[in-house]
Amino acid sequence: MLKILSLLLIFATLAVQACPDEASCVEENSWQLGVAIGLGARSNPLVDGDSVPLVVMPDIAWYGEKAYFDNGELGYQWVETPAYAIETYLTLDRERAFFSFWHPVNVFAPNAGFASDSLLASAEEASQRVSIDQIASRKWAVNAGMRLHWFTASGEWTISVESDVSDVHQGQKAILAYTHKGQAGSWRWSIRPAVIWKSENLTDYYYGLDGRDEIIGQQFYHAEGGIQPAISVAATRKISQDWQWIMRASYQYLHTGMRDSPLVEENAIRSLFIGVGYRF
Amino acid sequence: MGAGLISRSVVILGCMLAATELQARTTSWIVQPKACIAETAQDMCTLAIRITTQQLPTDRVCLYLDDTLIRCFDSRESEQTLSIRFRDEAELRLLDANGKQILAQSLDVKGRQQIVKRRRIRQPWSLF
Repeated sequence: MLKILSLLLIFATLAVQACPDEASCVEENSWQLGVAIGLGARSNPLVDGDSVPLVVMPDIAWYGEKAYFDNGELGYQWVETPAYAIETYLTLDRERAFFSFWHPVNVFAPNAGFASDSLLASAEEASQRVSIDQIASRKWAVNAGMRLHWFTASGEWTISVESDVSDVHQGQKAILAYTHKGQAGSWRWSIRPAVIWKSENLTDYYYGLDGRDEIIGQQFYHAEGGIQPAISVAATRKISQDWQWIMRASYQYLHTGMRDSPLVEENAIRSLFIGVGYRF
Repeated sequence: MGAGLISRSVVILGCMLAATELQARTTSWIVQPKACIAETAQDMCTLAIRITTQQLPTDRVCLYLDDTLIRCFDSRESEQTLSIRFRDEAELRLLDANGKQILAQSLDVKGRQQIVKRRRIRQPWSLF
């Protein structure tokens, strides 16, 4: 049995290419820059939180021999083989983006201020809710993380663990994901199911309510950590040497500790973008 | 013994002569060099090449780099030297007056620097 497993592992490793396709790779010591224009939005689950219209979307990456910057993540890749890779990195925690429009994630969208499109709530539910306009500001946090990739012939497994190093929420996050890639005609597609764990400290800092917020004591809420399943799909199709069609969609279901917060009025975060991208 | 050895030698010699004769009657060319050296394999490269032709079937032939005409010449001019520019890879083609291909030779660019590519860690367009 062990021999069979070893052979399978060797076969899987041999079947993996270091650079499976142009879109997945970047020349060492160079930038990979692009900008996409289209239509889309990312929902905001918070009460009175603005959905983010996605109109202009950048793709910014720089890769050195080991260090890299890729769409908001600054890191160092310690090991890179055709079969697996390990890196450590710093990244801005995206929870804060729901509380403020001026997050680097949001800065490329015009300040259209779309209102949250939740269904009408009952009077009782409305009274239990707390608007983000009523509470104390939440701070940006910087997370340090470590990620392991295991590459297969048609995709990759990743597991990452992050912890707050900016002493803001003192919480942790872990993500287990599998990205499966394929091609249908001239369309390249990928699907990525994931499981995200958010610690109690992280969840409570952003979505809990306590004495720091200007609310009555009955509305205080302690948010527990939990697991959020998510799935995203992406597809691209080359139009010319530099232009391509882009479609991206994602769905992330919030865990109970977050859904039960008076700050939160939606069960999930959704996003969709369809447009064209240009590669410099 | 002696007669057998002589006869075997004659047969071998005859075969060698026939092969030489056959080779001499075959349309062929020698293109040198076949690779161009540039800084990277993606750069444009200029290559000075020398072509030696043999037993061309027509009086007039034309030389093409992919689909671009370089020159036409009399097949009696067996030596041609020229300079060409190309990127990645190209095909040198010899066509007769009717446009029918007689001979072809692939050329490619070799880079001094090896381009190293890294797999992207995050998916493209994943800022949001």
